[in-house]
Amino acid sequence: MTALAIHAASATSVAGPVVRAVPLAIRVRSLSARHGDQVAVDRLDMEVAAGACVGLLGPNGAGKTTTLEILEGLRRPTSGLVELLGTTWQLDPAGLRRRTGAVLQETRFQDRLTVAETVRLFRSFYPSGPAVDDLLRLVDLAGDAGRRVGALSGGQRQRLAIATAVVGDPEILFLDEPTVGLDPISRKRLWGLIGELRRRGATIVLSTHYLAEAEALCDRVLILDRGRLVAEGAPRELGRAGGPVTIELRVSRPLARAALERMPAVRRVLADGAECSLELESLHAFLPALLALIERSGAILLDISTEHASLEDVFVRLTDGGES
Amino acid sequence: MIELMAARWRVFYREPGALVWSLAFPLLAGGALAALTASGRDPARLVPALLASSLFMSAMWGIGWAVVQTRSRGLFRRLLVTPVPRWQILASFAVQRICLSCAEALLLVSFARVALGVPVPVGLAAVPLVAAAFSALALAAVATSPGVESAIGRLNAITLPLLAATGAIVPVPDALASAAAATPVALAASALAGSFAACAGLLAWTAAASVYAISRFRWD
Repeated sequence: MTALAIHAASATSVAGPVVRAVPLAIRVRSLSARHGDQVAVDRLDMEVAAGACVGLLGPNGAGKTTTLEILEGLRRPTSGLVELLGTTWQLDPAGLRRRTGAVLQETRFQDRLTVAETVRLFRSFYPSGPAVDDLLRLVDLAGDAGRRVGALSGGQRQRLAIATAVVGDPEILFLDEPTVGLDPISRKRLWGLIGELRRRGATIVLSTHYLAEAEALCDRVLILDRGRLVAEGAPRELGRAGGPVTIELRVSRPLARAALERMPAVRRVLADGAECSLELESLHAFLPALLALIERSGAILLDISTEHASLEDVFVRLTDGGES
Repeated sequence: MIELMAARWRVFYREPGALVWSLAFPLLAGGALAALTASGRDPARLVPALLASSLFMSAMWGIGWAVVQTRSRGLFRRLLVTPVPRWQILASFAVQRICLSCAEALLLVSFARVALGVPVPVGLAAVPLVAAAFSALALAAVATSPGVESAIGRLNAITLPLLAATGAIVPVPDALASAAAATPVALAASALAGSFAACAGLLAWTAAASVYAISRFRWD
């Protein structure tokens, strides 16, 4: 789960120790891309271990799709190295096409083909892979095999898109905003499918606007802003590292504000007295001192709760409020 | 390639009216032939020119529209991230059009033969080559069109002068006759009339248009 290591000069890194026991599926070094005068991707470094699921997060224009397009071999970078499965798009384009799959943004399959015909069409492009019936069962469309694509719901179309992406049994799967525009139930269903693909061993790189999606699916997330990597790490770790911890406690006797403010790791006292609320730098430095203060005061701790910054808090803080 | 072709045919024949209207077009050309024959023109000389014009219009609009629609759906991009070779994607449009052109040609020639007693053109076997040339031209015409509006403009700008160059609609001035004879539709009319030199000219147009289409094709 910690096999991914990502390095960027300006990134907030909470990745912990770099683990290299698992072979790398993706290695990116100093990747840059420009659209005319605009920098879309700026010196991005990343490594993704085989079997990991990595999320690219960021506001519109952050460079997520450009990064994915470069990884997918659809776009050439201005500079930098992209290595997939030990080779590059320049060295072995045909081989990488067979070994990777992708769900692109806004692909509308032919409305007049059926679900099974669409999957069979894409399956025919690959030398090996699962049977069409198995794929349809995997994406829960077996009952809709004979339905025209034009009659499918948004969620069904996305599951069909995923089916066409995994027809060649890819080692790396790229998903560009796979659940955008879906209702919560369809989204959760798709998460289950992506989780199943992970269990089958695929390395997954997905871009998303949904922080909950990244938290639910990804081992690691990269937060991009204006083409630059601004933070990376496990979603939960990023949340912890991304902002203060808030602690709320209820005691039998009031605690003085001055005493609370003198305690280690306290950033701000939001409320004092019998029901206190404090903003902390870290919990572990604060707790022993709190217990000692309560004991000295002759009070009893009645209730305590903590709240860490969420991935959303980190995202908003690091990307100028999420505005592009 | 087989599944790609099968998919193209399914999309074609499942569109309401697609087959009917595709085959109605040569019959309309047959009606024009009848009208021109009634006005004193030699039908035996008109059939190759009308057939060439009919196949040209079908190819330009049939392929042009299908390509632009596929592009706007993002399907070309989607196909690019599969192992299918690019030439196969483009060839699937051309092969379908060649098959349809053969059916259209048989329909028009049969109508001319049965209704007007016009002999079958000696160069009828050149229909696949003619259709291939027009398919390549159509692919080249919309190779870089980002959307429907620009595609319509390009197709109009190409089809009207090339149709006029056949002389089937309006007489070509003597000063332009040799240049007009080297244009694709005029060459197709000559090839259908039995000219081997015209077949060579069509081959050259096919090669040039194919190279342009493949090298400049916009996949998104």
